[in-house]
Amino acid sequence: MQQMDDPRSFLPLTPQQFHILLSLTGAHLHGYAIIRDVEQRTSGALRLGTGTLYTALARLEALALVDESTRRAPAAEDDDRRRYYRITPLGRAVLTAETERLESLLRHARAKGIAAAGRPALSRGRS
Amino acid sequence: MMHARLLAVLVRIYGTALLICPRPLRDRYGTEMRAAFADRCDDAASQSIGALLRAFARELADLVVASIAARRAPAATPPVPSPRRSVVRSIWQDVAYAARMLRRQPGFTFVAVLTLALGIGANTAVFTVVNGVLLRPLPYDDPDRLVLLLYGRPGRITQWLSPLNYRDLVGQSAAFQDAAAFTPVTGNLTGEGDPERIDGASVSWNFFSVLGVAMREGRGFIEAEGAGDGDVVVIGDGLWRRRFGGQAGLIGTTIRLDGRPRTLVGIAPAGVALPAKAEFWRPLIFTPRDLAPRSRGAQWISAVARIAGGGDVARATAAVQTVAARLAVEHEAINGGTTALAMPLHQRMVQNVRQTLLVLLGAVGLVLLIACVNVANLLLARAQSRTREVAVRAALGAGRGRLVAQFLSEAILLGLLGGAAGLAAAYWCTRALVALAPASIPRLGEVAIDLRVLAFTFAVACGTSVLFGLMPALSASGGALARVIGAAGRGAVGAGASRPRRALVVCEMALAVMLLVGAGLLIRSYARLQQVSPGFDPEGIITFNLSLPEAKYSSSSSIAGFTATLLARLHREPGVETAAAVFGLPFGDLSASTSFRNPSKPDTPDGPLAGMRIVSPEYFKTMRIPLVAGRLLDERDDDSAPEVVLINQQTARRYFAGENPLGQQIRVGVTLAREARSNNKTIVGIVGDVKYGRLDADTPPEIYLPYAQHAVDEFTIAVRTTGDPMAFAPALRRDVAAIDRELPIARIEPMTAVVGASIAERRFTMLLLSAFAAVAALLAAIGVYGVLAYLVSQRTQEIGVRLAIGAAPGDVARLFLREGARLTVIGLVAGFAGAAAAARALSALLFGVTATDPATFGAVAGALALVALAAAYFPARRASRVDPMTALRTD
Repeated sequence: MQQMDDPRSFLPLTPQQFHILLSLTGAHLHGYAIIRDVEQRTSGALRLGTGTLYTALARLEALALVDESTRRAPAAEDDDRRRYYRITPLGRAVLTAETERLESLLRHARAKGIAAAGRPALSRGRS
Repeated sequence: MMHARLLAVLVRIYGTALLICPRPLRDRYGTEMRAAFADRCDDAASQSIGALLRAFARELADLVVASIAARRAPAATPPVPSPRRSVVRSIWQDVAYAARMLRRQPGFTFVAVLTLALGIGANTAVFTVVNGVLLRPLPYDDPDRLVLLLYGRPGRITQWLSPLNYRDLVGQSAAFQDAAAFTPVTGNLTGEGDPERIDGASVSWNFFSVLGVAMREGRGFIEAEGAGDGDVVVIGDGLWRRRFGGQAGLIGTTIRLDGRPRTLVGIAPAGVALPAKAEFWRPLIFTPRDLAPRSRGAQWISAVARIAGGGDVARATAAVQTVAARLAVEHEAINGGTTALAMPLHQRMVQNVRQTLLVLLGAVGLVLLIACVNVANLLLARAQSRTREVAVRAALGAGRGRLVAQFLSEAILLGLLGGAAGLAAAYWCTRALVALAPASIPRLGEVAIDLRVLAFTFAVACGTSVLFGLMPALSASGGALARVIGAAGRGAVGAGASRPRRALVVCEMALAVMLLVGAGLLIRSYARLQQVSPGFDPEGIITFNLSLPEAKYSSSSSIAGFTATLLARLHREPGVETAAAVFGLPFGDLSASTSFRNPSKPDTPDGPLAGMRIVSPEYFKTMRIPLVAGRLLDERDDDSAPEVVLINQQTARRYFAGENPLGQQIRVGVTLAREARSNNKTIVGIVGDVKYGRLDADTPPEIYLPYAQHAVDEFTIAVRTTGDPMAFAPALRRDVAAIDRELPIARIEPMTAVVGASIAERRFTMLLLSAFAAVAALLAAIGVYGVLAYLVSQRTQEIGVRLAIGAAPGDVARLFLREGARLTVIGLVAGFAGAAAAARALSALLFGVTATDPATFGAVAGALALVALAAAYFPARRASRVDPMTALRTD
């Protein structure tokens, strides 16, 4: 078996990549299903455009974090124009590594007393 | 259904847009991306059309950004931040920043997007009509190879041929692959529901195969049917839906047309309308009489031909000209001096409306230009109020290119927003346009938003964004910037910074002047036209058409009997003054013309030609056409009496110059009644000239034949009433039904409407152009107001100083009014120069005014000056009320 690359060499992930990997964890999804999954999970805060999704997917595939799945939806709701994607073991490792990285960042911030509760007020008035 | 079509179009656009993706990405993911895009649009469409268009815009923007990103950082390279990636990031930043700026100033964004949506929407709507009528190919196979044959003497070339000339023209030239004859007819459709009069055509059996029409259901005609075998009919999609509810399985059933059962063999697809408005087609069968040598002069059919492979229109024209020249020699007496030509079918159909539509497209383009100028002005104003921000960014190291990019991305974002809103507006505007358009514009049923329209809108939105975005970007990043950094604000903004804005307002004024002059000329033409006397009095007259089916009314005496009975009944109706039957009602759709000659002279090809009207005696009284000399027709001119004829003044002037036409005899070339009397006819009277087809043309020579001597089976009844003519419609219907229950009444309408329809197209053009001009004037006024208000706010300190050292408030107001007047005068002068050039394009649409009509130009100058003055008044007043102390203290 081929030696797996060091997951940490792939960090940091963009928010889009992070969410795509998250969506594929535990499910084999086609493109638009990923878009919807991300949108639902983030309550609409992150809406991937089709172009953004596929450029990110292409990248993840090239890096072998994601590959194509042979599992398909039931014939009734299937569409042969679609392809389904799944996360690879390397992808899972990278996702875990990225989560660790983010957690450690959070810890450092909290230690300095920075909380996510309220945003600092932005001055909106005209100068 | 509209959504589904729109969706399909959007997916196609997206598919095309995928071309900007890097090739590997497109090859691997293209199909999926299209599918995902379609899914996204599906979801959005289930909410609203607005959501769909928003999703579409967002997806396109996303595709652009993602493709740029993918090109800058190909997937194969490791995820190391490279300097090139920062370019992508900067583009993203620009777009995101632009979006934030627009969101932060909702008022500005709203006004800008609304202005653009107005301009783009109106353009898209007009372009949609132009596209459907002028650009979209006809719904026939390879329509560019279809031509109509035109024939006649130079100056009198029409699309009418005699069957013999048709046979020879087509048969003797090798230019055509195939050809078919057709002639318009009307039919009375009876059976379930009210009897209905419908337009249709008699056509050669191969008509549909020449056009290359695939039937919606059933088939076209076969050769045996063209020889008279079986009574068959093909109906159009519109009739099928309207009358038969679009039900399937009708092929083979029988429908009653003109009292005769006909077997339905085919349903033509939507859009097949040759001749215009035809809703049914039946086989055209030439009788031996039609093909007899003496019938060579009877021109009543049209010919459509398909050019053979490798040929073109010029060669087809050359071929038929050769044959026509030969026929002119061989049949000198009838065909002498005639020629023929082949004209592309589409060109012939749109010939009359082309100019109108192109003028409208040009006018609406000017409105868009003005809208652009206004938005540019808004952007400039904002750019100047943002000079400090720009200066800081420049000072922190933003290059000029970067600043331009940022302004441009704001402009393009605005343009796309305006385009999306404009598209939605166009969707409704187009419906309104089609509903308002006069019936004389062909192919309106085919008008729809399609790929070409969307591409047009997109191009217009992007083009205009660059147009209005570039100027503020350049001015803000160039000189203005340096000035701002140099002089730190206090009262330093002088004339220089506002020069581009003044130039824009002058442009705006000039464009508005052009539109106003155009609209003014059309309004004056229309007014002149309405003053033209048609030669009769249309008030109080109601008209309707009747067509007596041959199966029931086969002899002249039965036709004349029906008409006499009907007229007698109508006369007895209370409130009816007079009633008359007429073939060839002015502005109506029945007409014929004929050659005539003095029986003692030989027939010559260039002999007299006149419009032929067949009227019952009361006609002149009903229409109030005056008698000039001799006598009118009366009851004695019946079938057994000697044949008589009336002529109009034009005929007398043109063909009987210097002699007394009364008592002279003529022979008439064409007969319309079934059992025609064709002896010599004595001229017994001269009546006043009447306008026929159009108010803006000269009265043609006319002859009037008595109905009793020429009983035609298709005619109009005109009834003069004492009240509101349409109130008599039920009574008239009752009278017709009392004589023949199965006979439908067609086109029941007041005579004023018949005349009005002839100028409906002008009215439409005039109203649209006036609306455009009004919008233009409004936008120009806003522009003047904006510039002056800006100048006042920029020069508050200067005004304060002036007032403090003793200037009267009136002087200050006058200062700004003078500025407004200066802009207006320059704009007017530039606009007049443009208008004088542009009005030439209008000249074909004008009547009774010249393209440089001084009154119109003067009125426009006055009106626009007034509007500009009003727009300048408010800023000037504000300037005069400046409080010196406050002004001097402001920063």
